[in-house]
Amino acid sequence: MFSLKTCSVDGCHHYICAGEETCYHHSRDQETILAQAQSLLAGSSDLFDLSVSEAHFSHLTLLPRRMAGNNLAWCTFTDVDFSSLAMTNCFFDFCLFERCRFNAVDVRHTVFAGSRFLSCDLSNSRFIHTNFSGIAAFTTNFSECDFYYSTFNTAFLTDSPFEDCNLKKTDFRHSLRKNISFRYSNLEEAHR
Amino acid sequence: MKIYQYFSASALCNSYLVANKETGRALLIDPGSVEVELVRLIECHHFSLEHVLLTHGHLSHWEGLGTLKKIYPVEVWASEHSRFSFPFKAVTDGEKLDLCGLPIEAIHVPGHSLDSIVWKIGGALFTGDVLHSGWVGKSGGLSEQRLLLDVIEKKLLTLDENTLIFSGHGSPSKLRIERLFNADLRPSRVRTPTP
Repeated sequence: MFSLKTCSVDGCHHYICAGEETCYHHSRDQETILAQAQSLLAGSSDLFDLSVSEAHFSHLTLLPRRMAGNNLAWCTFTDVDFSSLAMTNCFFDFCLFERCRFNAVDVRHTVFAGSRFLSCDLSNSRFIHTNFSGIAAFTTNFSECDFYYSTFNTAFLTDSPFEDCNLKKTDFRHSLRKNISFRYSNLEEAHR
Repeated sequence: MKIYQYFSASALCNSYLVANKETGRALLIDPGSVEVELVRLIECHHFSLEHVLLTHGHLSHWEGLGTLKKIYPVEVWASEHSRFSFPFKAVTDGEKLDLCGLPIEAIHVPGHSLDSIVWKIGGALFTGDVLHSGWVGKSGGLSEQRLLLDVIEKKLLTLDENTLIFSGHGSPSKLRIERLFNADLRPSRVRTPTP
């Protein structure tokens, strides 16, 4: 699990980067921290306890492996391929995902709440016990996924299909859905 | 601190294994069911399981305790308002403990049940059935629901907004996320005028 200590700068509530006293935003050596994070993300070893907030990542392909206990809240991801990863207990809250791919991922107990998904592909994956509360998704494909016990409450979903999904105990309460297809999905078993 | 979630498909509730990274001493929150996978999780990491923290008295959150105690010599902690048929150490509201070298605080949040305790361990809250991602725990009636919302507002929503939330059911969250997106916590719901 990433360190739950917060940044030493007064008024900043972000978590510190591993081995630092400040968060990424207040670090004096942002370039080194970002380079380390990019190399860890692009590497082939299992990735645990990484903590970088408010960083920008683009044009990365993450190799299939395990990720656990990572904090990447408030980051932006453009053209990043997360496919075939196994992810547990990771925090991607309030991120921006643009043209990212999450195909055949196995995600559990992970947080994407408050994030924006623009033209992303999450199809053919498992998102079990995953928090999508308050997300905004535009032209993003959620089809052929298992969303058991995941939450989409207060989400804003537009032009994003949820076809052939397992929606048992999935929470869509207070969500706004525009042009969403639930064909072949068990929407009757979801909370809405 | 290391946190591992374990979802029991038979008890349909989340258990949490919390371990001290340096010493390997560990505690378990809400052993709803003790299955081979959970024991494997403890043993694969060579953790020494010493304590069990219970969030409240509902059976689905402690039914595995009997099995667990046959395997590990654990000490059980629960609210002073709890009534169990097995021995446990009672904690009061605001009581601070040091278990497994981890700083722990017991926060009494009645409403879902009289004996509900939210365990604060470092920057993480283990909320049991009090507060989940997107919804607040169910109560027996309107007065209990109002009490629950009032206590959540006073004791939990005043904490740092980055505090992580690990609930008895569903996905993890943060206090900021619940403040923004949990419809049950919207001001109109929390501050219902007293008739």
